[in-house]
Amino acid sequence: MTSPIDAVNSPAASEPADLDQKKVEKGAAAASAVGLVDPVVETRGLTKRYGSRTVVDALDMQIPAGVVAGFIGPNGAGKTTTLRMLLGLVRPSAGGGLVFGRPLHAPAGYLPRVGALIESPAFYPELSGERNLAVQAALGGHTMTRVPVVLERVGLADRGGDPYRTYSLGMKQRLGIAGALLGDPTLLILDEPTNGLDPAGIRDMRSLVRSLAEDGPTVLVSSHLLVEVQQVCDWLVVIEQGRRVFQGPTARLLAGHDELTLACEDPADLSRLQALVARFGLTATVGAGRLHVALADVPALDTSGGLTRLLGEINRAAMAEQLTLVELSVARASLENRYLALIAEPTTEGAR
Amino acid sequence: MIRSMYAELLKLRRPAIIYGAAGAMLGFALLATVLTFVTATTAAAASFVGGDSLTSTVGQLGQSGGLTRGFTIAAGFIGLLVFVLFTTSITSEYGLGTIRVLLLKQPCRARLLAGKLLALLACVAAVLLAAELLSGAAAIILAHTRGIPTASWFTAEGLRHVAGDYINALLVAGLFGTVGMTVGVLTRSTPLALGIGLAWLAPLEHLIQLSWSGAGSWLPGLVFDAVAAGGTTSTTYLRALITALAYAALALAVGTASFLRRDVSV
Repeated sequence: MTSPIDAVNSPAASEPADLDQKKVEKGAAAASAVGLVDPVVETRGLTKRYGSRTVVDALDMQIPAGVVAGFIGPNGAGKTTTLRMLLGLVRPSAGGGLVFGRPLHAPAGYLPRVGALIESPAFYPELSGERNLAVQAALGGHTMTRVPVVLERVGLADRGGDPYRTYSLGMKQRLGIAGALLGDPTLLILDEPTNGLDPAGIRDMRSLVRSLAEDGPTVLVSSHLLVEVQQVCDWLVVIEQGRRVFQGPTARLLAGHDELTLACEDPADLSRLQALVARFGLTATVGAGRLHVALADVPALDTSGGLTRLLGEINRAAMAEQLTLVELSVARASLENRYLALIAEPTTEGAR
Repeated sequence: MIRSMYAELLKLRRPAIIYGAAGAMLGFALLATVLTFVTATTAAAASFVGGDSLTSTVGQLGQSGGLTRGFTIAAGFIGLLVFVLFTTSITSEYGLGTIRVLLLKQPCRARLLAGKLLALLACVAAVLLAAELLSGAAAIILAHTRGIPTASWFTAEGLRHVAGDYINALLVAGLFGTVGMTVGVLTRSTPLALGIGLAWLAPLEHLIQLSWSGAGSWLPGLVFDAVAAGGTTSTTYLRALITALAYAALALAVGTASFLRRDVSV
């Protein structure tokens, strides 16, 4: 179950509350599936070696149905190689896995239900976007009526007739996703879909991925942009040097790592404020003229509305002590910080 | 396989293919025909079969095979163009990264490769037909200007030559294409594939031929040329055909095995 902290704190202040709530619910549902009943993707000991170099090292990974799963790790961690193995492009050296219950060594059994954009989009430069998609549709046995549908879906209906070489990078990425959507997939695999995009392009891509996920397919997306992953994904698989260091709901990775910051009008009162928060069982450290409280393992927060109640009580107590608070805020644990901690000490989280 | 073939045909409608490769093949056929008739000598006639020479006599051109003589000479050169077309059709998929998209849409690699090969062959068959028609039309015009009799061209024997030379040219194109595709699959790189392939098929084999009399019977490019020419002084048509088919079968087996087994990391 997710803690009230996760329900109270949105991943980003700008996110609509209902979307955030949906994500938490999906994460919770995913968490309940950790047992795992028919995961869409499941690997066991998946390994890829190139000569003496092991790129993916006995990777066990599970992606529950219906989630937006983030697949993250440093450059060279083996993300793309793993995705290539899932898509039948690269043969595992050892281990294996299942996609929709079908083995990786027989990708023809499951690829018709999978849409994918691996690394940069690849098309024929002289052909129009429409013709490029027609080639893919013909090859995949999809009806040609899907071509205008998916072009419309990714916002390229007006430019479908233009040669691919005239497209901007953002349009190329969107055309790549259109190609992936041709077969109306139930699993969508996107490898670095925001690579090379400017901030506006990243925002558009985030919106697109979100809206695609709302249509129902399970989405597996690898990205370096952890802020994006945190906002979009409700399930995470983190790998480092080809090994899994975390797998589970995003909320679980972030749970208990939020931070409470307090500041009073007169910095000289900080020690009194520190003593006050200690009465609530909180250990505060002083830094940059403020008090910082790690909210991990605070029992009072384990009940519904616990954090809100705690903040109110601290505020009232401070007023009673003639302490004027000028800051009382909770910073949501960032995926970036948690990710860096995981990468720094992979063995501590490796068992999860 | 039909899906793969159809998808490949959709791609082949690119201007670079239509105006480049097809234009070059038609141009070769026309050029060979013009040169054949313009440079024809008035020496005594002999059969075309078994001759290595590219020059013809007026008497030879007046025989039943005269109508397609230029086309037959062009077939060997067209074979090199087909080699380039088939090679680059594979290597460009790796260069552009489109191979991974193709394999996601058609995970059965054998079907993908077969569909691609058949689509290219169908395309080449159409262009060869156009090339033969163009060459024939040019031959008729040039024959009149040089006073070459054309009556035997339009006999049953002459029409058999037309059909036979077309099938033979298509066969030669298939041989070059199969080898080209295999070189493309093995190297996955356009510069490397063309560098190796063209260097071997063009200068190297001919250099080897200068010092080894058996080269014309055994080296693939020379054997394919012998099939295109209907036999040479080095080897008979039948022997050249058997050897060429063996090379093509070997190339197909090696290329297919490589395409089926190797990782796609582009």
